[in-house]
Amino acid sequence: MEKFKSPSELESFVNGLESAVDHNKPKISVCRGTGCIASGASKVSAKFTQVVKDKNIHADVVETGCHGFCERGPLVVIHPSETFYQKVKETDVEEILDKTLAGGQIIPRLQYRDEAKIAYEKEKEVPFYKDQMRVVFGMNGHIDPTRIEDYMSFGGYKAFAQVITKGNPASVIDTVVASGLRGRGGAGFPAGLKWKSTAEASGEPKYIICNADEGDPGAFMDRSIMEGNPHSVLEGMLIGAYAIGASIGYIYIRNEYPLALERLEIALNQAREYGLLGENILGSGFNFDILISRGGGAFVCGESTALMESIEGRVGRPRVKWKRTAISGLWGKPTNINNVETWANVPYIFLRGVDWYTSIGTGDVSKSPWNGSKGTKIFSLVGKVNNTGLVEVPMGTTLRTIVFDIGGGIKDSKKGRTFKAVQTGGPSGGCIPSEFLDIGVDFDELTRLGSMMGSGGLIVMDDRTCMVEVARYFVDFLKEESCGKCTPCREGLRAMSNILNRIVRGHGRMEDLDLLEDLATTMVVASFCNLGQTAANPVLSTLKYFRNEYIDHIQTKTCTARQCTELIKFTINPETCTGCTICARKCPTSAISGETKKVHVVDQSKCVQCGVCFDVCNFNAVNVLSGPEIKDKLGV
Amino acid sequence: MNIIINGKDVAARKGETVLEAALREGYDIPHLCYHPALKPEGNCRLCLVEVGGKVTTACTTTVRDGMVIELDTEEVNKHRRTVLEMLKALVPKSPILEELSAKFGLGKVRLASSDEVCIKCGLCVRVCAELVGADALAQEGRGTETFFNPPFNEPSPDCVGCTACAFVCPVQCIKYEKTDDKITIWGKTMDRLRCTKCGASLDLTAEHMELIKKRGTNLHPENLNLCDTCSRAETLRTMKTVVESQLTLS
Ligand SMILES: Cc1cc2nc3c(=O)[nH]c(=O)nc-3n(C[C@H](O)[C@H](O)[C@H](O)COP(=O)(O)O)c2cc1C
Ligand code: SF4
Ligand code: SF4
Ligand code: FES
Repeated sequence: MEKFKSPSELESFVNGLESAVDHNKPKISVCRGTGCIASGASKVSAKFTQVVKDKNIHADVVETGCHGFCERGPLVVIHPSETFYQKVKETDVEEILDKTLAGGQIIPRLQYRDEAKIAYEKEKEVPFYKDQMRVVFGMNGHIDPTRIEDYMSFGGYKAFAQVITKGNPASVIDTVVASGLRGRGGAGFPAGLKWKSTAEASGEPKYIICNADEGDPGAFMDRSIMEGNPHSVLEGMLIGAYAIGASIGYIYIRNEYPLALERLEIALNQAREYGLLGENILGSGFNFDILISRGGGAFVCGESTALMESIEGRVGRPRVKWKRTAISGLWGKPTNINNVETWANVPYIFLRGVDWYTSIGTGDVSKSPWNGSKGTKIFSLVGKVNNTGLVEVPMGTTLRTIVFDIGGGIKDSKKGRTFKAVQTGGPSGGCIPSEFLDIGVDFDELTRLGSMMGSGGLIVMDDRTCMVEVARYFVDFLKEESCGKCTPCREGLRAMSNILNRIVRGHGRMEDLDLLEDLATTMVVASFCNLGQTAANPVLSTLKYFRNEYIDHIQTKTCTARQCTELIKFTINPETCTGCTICARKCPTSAISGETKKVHVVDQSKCVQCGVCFDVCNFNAVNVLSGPEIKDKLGV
Repeated sequence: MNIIINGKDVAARKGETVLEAALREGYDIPHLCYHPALKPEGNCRLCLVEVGGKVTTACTTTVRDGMVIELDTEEVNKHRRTVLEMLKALVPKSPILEELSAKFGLGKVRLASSDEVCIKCGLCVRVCAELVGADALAQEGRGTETFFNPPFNEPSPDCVGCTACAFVCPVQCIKYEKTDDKITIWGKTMDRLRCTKCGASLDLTAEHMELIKKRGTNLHPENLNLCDTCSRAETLRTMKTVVESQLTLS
């Protein structure tokens, strides 16, 4: 492979690849993200490749990165018709090639159907995708992440070539400031302003870091970007390094991401072979290379100073910032750190222009990037919704659209389940109740509601989710993940955990509520790093919006959501029980007895409150009692 | 340069922290994880003050000319009390925490007690690494399971038995034992050296001596082998010889 000697050489090569793409040529894109691989995508794609070759079929098979709808994997999309198939098995391959590719017929069995059993044909018509706007994920369904030429055939590296041609680092920074791009890793700091501080700081060498620690449990957007389109991250970093004057970049990636790591390494080697990394890049005199640093996976290692400690070879614990890391970061040198998704946004800003970018999202950033949230954001949508997966939407999209349109509404709504809250921002985010479903999700709105954007986790909760238990769960997670350095975070979480565990067991006291608030406000103000400063969010937001649930637990030992096992009892309603026996068969402790077509009964001494009977009963005959009801109905 | 503490102009030196300036000027800011000889780490969070209306820790804030600092606002007092309450729940029987509670008006502790002895300020680890140079102690674990001790809480090959950790520990929870010829700390027993002149036992182990020599010192290593009394006598003798030789020369 020849190294490019000038930006124009690179640009015309990319143009050549772009125009050589035959958009009418049939293409079978098979998702090979971690999720789809887990459900068997490798076999499916191997089979496609083999049959296409054996039968000499005129089509390309592309093994792509994650398409986002992982729970329906393995996913296959046939282009140009955009036919969308889900849960595809190796044994479906020949039929797809015969019927759909050759015959233009749809195979109903493989189609996606929503809760109302309506089938959808094209990918973009599927409700999960319909309201999405895939920019950062735009190429994910089309390119093979292990081929740099695939990325280039969609215009990849052209933005970088143009930036080098222009030869004006300061104008690159101005463009990023004007785009309004804010950090996707948590705090939403304007990327352009951060770049500017490091560019203006004195000291050599300068570093840039890509934060790929992704420690939020349940979040995997960064992983999917790296797996599906690693070159977009590299190109973003190249543009950033050039603007900032950095000569070394680090990608700090967690050890649990072997596939992302592998694809990044392939991408780095390809970029080096083309002369996009190394010395005198594109003959411009710009030297830059990227190293990979692997993290141990502690949540706190994602915090910027802890991450730098870790790269420097020490235990990842936050350190005192005598100066901002932009001025004194890695090894005391000027360092700019951004999240994976932040870097991956950069090429598109240059490729499609600031006007296009600022047309997406909220606010008006013409005066300051703080005045809005621009571009798209990827959310990891999980919990009690029908469709879960990775969702990319314009900033400002309402929670209602995300939960009810893209997410397809609340799971088991036919059984009466209703929306209660959505938890955003990862473990230290907050819970937002239904009255705010119509707010547009952006950095500032979420903060205003006592939650945060965080890395973009969205957990949907239904009426059977106990909000005290939610707070307890996150506090216990954070208690383990606090680095232990400072008093408010470590001891505040310990104390909160004690109190919340006592409340969910029905041993809470009314004074506990004030105590929780005191602890929380001090943690916010006095903790050393952002982990402790935000760790009280789960408690503060649930106390604010769901205080009644706390009071019910304390005063009447009632778990409003009927979830806290020590406060509930299961009984069967003799009026509605049909004697179908399903509950008796599914109960893990054989606590339910009864004959066919006769009323069933729960033996309270054997019941462990697992709730299986409630979930399996098709006649709503299982009642969950809590608080005074228990005494009224069971006499205990 | 000047900073303004509680409305009064106070002289401050470039590069020092708010805590250093305030303490030097006689203001009282409670602090447990700060020691003048060590790099501040901001661990205990007790030295809260308000800088320009924002609550922050004095030991990790560098002074700027004209900086406005308030030591006793309602906010500061409230959060300081809660931090203190957390520490008291962690270590219930500590005279210094009692004293601070009395001073800053902390009443009954509302939190469940953990009955530990260490407040996890990290001074011991820092003095051992930064000043002694032995680096025999570590912060281990995470979250509430954070402990300060030699790695794996086993006697450390790096410990030289200098007891500096026990000396800086604000709650005096590091125990050591001294006999005439031995010292035991963190489960490790070491021999005490003896004064080469009079034979009295020294507060110095062979391991420590080794480390001092390795790191280099301004003191004459031979002098370290002497007890206080002999060392003084020796210095006096040397000075006398020097003075006498000066006199003979003139
Ligand atoms: C406890 C904690 C964990 C964090 N974890 C991550 C993470 O996993 N990934 C990430 O990009 N940023 C994480 N951050 C935010 C980083 O400190 C930093 O703000 C971010 O990487 C900056 O990039 P951005 O401006 O592009 O968002 C974390 C912050 C804290 C306090
Ligand atoms: S707030 Fe304190 S204990 Fe918590 S992670 Fe940050 S430095 Fe560590
Ligand atoms: S042992 Fe003493 S000096 Fe060491 S961390 Fe604990 S309280 Fe601080
Ligand atoms: S003395 Fe400042 S935080 Fe401990």
